[in-house]
Amino acid sequence: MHTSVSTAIRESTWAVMAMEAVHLIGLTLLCGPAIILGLGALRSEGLQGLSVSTLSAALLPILRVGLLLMVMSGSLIALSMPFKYYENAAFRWKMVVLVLAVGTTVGLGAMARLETLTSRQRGWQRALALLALVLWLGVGFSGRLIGFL
Amino acid sequence: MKSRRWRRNHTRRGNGRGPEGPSIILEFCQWLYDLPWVVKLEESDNLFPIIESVHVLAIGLMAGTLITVDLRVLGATFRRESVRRIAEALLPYTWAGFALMVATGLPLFAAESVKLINNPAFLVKLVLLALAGANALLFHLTVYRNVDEWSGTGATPLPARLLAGTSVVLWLSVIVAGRLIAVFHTH
Repeated sequence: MHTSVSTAIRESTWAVMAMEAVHLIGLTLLCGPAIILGLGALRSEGLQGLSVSTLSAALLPILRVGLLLMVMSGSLIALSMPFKYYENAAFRWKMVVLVLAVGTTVGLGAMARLETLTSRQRGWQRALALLALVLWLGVGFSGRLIGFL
Repeated sequence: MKSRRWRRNHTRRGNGRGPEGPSIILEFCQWLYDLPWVVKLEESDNLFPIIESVHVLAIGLMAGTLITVDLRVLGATFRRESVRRIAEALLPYTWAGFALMVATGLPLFAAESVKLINNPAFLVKLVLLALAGANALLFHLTVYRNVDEWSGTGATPLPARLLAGTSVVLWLSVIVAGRLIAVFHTH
């Protein structure tokens, strides 16, 4: 890609480093809340008496800020070396798993806003929570793997 | 697979002095570096990346939950719950993340110890970790002692807010310094 943004980022190691720093700050804001929300929704009594709706109301905004930082910085990093990333199998997997992780988390947030849940819905919520946890871990691992391929 | 390792013979035992002369720290790192399981870990293709991934996720869990508690102290989230309630619900996960971070960080350090002690980003990270620890200790020994007096009201006293804000900045700096280690790495 020969856009000026792409060239500018690639040619400045400091810019890439700054993007990666923002990416990791985003990861921190996303990781903790995602794990706490997942664990809270997985347990039948919530997390230490904090209900799933309380957890999701407080944690989803933090998670969204983290995700926003990660997507913005991640897009710029990928744009700086588009061919490297396009050909990287771990990067492709990461994108697929990321979309699924965001989807399950959005679903989890939507279920948390419901007033009451039937036991069947509660079962779905727990399955979604487990799936979200596994998928977010998958995003993390495939992300780290990009650098090793 | 891209080689992320430096050649072992760069730091072969026997000359006993690095660029900055012999030191007990360097001797210790060399001893650590030459341990059989450390050699195995460093030469393994899969183990090192896996441990490193777990390390990053452990930091994410540790700092992510701690920053969430800090944000509650700052009044930015969970406003309807008391600080004590949020701290008691989330801090066990902070500690779990911390334990996992140390458990994975130590072998990672051992496998690269000889290089890391000359890496400015690593040294900065250690200083920042010490500061973050001291800051947490200060929080618990001072403002958290009478948390029940202020945690329900919503108006957090200034000292508590300052310590919580410092905590957020320090932990994010630890993470950035950790990432910079790779930038200063010599192969």
